[in-house]
Amino acid sequence: MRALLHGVDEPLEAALRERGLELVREGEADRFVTCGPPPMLRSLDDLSVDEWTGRFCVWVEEPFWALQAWLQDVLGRGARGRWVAITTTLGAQPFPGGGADGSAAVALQTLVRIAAVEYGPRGIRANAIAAGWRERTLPAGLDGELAATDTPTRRLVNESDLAAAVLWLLGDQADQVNGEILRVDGGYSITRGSRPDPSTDSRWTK
Amino acid sequence: MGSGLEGLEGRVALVTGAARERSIGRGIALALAERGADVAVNDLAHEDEASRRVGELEALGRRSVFIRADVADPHECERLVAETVTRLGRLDIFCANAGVADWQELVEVTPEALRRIVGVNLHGCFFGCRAAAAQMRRQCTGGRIVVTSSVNAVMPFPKLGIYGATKHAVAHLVGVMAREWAPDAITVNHVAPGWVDSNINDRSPDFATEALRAVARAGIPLGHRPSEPREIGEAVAYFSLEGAAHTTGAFLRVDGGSVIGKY
Repeated sequence: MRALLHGVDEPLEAALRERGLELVREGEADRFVTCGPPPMLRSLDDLSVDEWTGRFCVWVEEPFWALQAWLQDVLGRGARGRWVAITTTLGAQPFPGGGADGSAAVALQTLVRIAAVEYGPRGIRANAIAAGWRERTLPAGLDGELAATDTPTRRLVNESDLAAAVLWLLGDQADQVNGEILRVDGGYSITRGSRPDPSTDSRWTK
Repeated sequence: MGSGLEGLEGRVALVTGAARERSIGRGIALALAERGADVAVNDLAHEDEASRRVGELEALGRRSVFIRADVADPHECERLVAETVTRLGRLDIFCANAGVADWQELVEVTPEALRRIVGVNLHGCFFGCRAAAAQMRRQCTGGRIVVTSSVNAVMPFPKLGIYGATKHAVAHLVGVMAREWAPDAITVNHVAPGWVDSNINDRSPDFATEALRAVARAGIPLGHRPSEPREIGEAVAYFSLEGAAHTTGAFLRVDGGSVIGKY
């Protein structure tokens, strides 16, 4: 199976290749995977204008233009396309410090659902993964041990978890899965846990 | 003890995107003014219509000014807030209402359309809310921020991909603002219109013919009609009242039930 890749996530790319997915940076491919940057936590008051617009650009605008080019190619060839966008569970719930990335994540998830609606009739499936905290990309200030304790599965997410989800969504087994946002976070985002809280955490206390 | 729903006397509100005759912003401005608030009206253009807005708000016995500014520019947002305070004395209620839309499939979206929609609907909302929150914090009396969202925040509509993405992003942002600014007693809520027969929808292909409008009306359970701008304004006014002091991060659809059970 071959997929066009947008974005850089080397550990995930390695995990996908290990499982037999051929990843290419250009050329024809019926499957398309977009990756975002490592998550960042910063309060809305502390974000610079460039940080705010820059996070949206890298999370949404750049993948969107790559998506548009891929859609034009796939639709032009009449191929059955599959898009999987890897986003973050920061979009699953309002998370203090996660305003920029969370907003961008849900914007991209909306584009996934729009693509599913607009191009489903022409054989395109589009889905997203909302990735939880990963050991390799934990944002500064987040306690990984605490996050693992707060996760119902009692561990953080690894690249294998994400790769398995990507491959399933790209494959024929998920042929009727379209416009779905699949959380791969061990259940963290459905718990309250130790997420920073503005009323108790000094980082967010004015 | 009052009901908490009495009025907004002595409060100063700023409503973005409020100059036009058939705009949601006008409905918001009128609802706030009728409860006693002085209102600064903002828009990027339409100064002729803005002067009529100011006139009708003053006719209600309120102070009102028009401040032209492009909310997509963070510096303009800061100037907008500062000028409101200079001319009306303070800022208690900020309504991030300005919005733009285009109807295009994803493969048809142009860089200009994306820049404009994201710039106004998302970046403009954030820059405006942050500038308003900073002023409210300086006043040490809390404040109310109400964002005009959309049913697009919860349900995908074809040809409204970029618009929907910005509205979903704003919906998430409202939650984060509500949590981060709660220590300052600033509430942040959002109101989600469905179909409003407002200026922004004049270019919508969904309402382009009477036959299409009939289909759209049939899809609205409550009254088979679009919402009035004033009905959106009433919801915004509620979030601005004392009785809503403990309500933050709330999402209130005012859409006649058009998307119930559809998302």
